[in-house]
Amino acid sequence: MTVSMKYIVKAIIYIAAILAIAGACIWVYERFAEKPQGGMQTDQARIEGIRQMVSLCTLEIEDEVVLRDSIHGKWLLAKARLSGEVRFDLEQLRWDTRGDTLVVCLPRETVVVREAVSSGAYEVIDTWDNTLLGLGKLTTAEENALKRRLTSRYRAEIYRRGYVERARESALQTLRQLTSALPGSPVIVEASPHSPRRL
Amino acid sequence: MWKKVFFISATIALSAFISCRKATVEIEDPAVKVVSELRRVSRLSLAEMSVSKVGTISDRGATGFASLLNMLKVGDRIGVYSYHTYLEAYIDLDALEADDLEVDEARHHVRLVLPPVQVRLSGRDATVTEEHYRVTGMRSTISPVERAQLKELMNTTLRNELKADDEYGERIRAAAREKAVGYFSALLRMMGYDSDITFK
Repeated sequence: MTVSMKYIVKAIIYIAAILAIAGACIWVYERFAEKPQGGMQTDQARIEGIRQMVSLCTLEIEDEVVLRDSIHGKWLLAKARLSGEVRFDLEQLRWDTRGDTLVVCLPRETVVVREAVSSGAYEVIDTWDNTLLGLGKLTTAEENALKRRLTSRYRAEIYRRGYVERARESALQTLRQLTSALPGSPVIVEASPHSPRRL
Repeated sequence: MWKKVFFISATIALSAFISCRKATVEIEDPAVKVVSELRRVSRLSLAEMSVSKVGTISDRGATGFASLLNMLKVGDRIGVYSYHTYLEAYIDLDALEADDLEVDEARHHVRLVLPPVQVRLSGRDATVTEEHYRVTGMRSTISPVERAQLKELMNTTLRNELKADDEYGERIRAAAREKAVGYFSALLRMMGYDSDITFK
């Protein structure tokens, strides 16, 4: 091996070593440094619309749940805080007359499930892929599908625990108090003849 | 010799792969409840405002070492996401007192003083909308952890914006007052009474 060849080999070894060290440093930084928030920006909030309503809410539930579910072999483990509300649309109240008495019929309930707005309401703990190569990451559509499944299970749970029945009783009681103060004919408040929605 | 090395490597890789597959157990767990809170309320919701917030994950905002690293990487990485948060304007019916309703039977007139309209954040969409997504070259895809971090950042800035500017609150309160007056006056008219409805 000539002297010039030796220098070339040495130079290649040095460059390879420098690149390896730089690569290792980058890997360590990416692996252990906190994810840079600098790469994230938010725009000014925009009002999308205002909806007027007359809706009586008598029960409010807030739960912290663990979401462990999969779609297309990709798994998500996350912690979510969900809030549920049982509401009755008072614009749908049915008014009937029985003799000199007004009969008010409470409409069916609506169960609204949303994610809470307190900080840390949704935290991803782990994600992994159980497919053949195991390289896939959950896409937004897949993650949304898992969240929809979670909210739908949560809504079913609200019915199962009997919260809707309890909310209905409360709503009837509130309406009775309100209508008793109203002038004119006596008022009777009844629940809707239809049984509450079941999921 | 090479055949032997290849065979041994393939066997090791295969056994490692099989052992990894066995390590995870696929059970469709339902949501596990951690903390639960139940509140009885008597809230009459009169208006709901939907507020949209948009957030971006990209290389542009990065500074310092992170921006240097991004320059070395091959390809682009940008994701734009949005979701809705809901503000609710309501009156607390438990705050209604007996003397808030005065009935003048002779004139068929009712004077009703409703509790003040209050505003609260009632929740946000669990899902996010992907407005734009472009990851090219050797760049890694945007992970659920990053999306969750962005949502958290958007939530924090939104709460600060709402605190700093009462425009949102004023608009929804005005809509709520209008609805309450409209609803109760129609209800009393149906019963044959004129009304004068105000707020505390």
